[in-house]
Amino acid sequence: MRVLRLIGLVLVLAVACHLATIWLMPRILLAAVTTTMQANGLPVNELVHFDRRTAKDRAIVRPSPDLLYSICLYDLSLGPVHIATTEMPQTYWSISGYAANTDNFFVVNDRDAAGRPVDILIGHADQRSSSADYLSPSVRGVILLRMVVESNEHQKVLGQFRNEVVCEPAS
Amino acid sequence: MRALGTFFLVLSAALVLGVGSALYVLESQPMKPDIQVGPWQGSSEAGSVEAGIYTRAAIARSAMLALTRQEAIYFIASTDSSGDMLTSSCRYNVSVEDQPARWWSITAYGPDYYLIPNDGDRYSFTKTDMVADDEPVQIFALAMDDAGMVPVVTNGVMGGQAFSLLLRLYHPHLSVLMSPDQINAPQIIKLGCG
Repeated sequence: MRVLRLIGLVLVLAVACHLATIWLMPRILLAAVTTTMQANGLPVNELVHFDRRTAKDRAIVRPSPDLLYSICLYDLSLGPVHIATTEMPQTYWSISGYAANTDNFFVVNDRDAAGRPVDILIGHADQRSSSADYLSPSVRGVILLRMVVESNEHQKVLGQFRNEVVCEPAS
Repeated sequence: MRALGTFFLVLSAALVLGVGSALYVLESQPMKPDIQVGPWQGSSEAGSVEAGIYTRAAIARSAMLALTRQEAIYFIASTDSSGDMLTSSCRYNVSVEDQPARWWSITAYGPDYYLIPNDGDRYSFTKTDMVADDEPVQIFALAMDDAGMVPVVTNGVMGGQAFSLLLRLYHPHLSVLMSPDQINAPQIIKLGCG
């Protein structure tokens, strides 16, 4: 009888561990990625541009080699973050926000922008900033700029556009 | 003392069972698919805030920072059209029509989910690579790094390692959003091995 009780206890605890592992997995993986990036000198609340991904890049699984990526590790603990672009090119691009659990909580793309500059404010859901365009469910997360590259010449043009994009504290 | 030993035994067994089964589930179903088109599997909940914990964990493990389906739909193939595992010991033709999306790409990844090293830094085939709009089908082979091919072996070394293909559809057409399992997905035909 005691053995059966112990087996039952193991199974109940195993189910709890299983669910906790599944729930924590995206949070742990994203935290590992952002912590490594910061350890490698990536600043917070600032957009950093990357070259096209190659086999040497090991930061994020299944990267697209056909996109230019720029990353802003955001931290809303001191207030909202401001993202702004100039007029962007007529190619597929998107600016997307990922919370600490990897949820994609907003996307703005070239069709949304319709040739106009983008100017948005990201706030934290608890701060209820009335001026925020999008609310992040977590204080920290990642903002990702993606741009489709169609050729090497195209890449140079896109590089000039993305140099004008800013991600910075709003105040 | 005996009670303490039993406690740690129970806890260890629960941890091994719980964490191990979670990792096994994520490894065996890397994208928690609910869409199947030939060898291609996709998840309609990728990137969504409505995604369940299993989908969220699976996507984070295999394709972190995915976009929502309105922005992009992802399909992963780990087998050819006959159901055999993709391996760099074999050569494949991938026949693809222009896909129902604004832009699309097919990228090869190694078993570690990263791009496969090769001298030419060639990792994918995209809509931009289609020669002409009136050429409905393009055929390209996955094997050695020859002209027009996407290599899935490291600098010509045949290692027999598993690989996968990821089809990305950016701004998929409404028909794809309505019926993602009805797309004319690329065929992956094995040509030979060894």
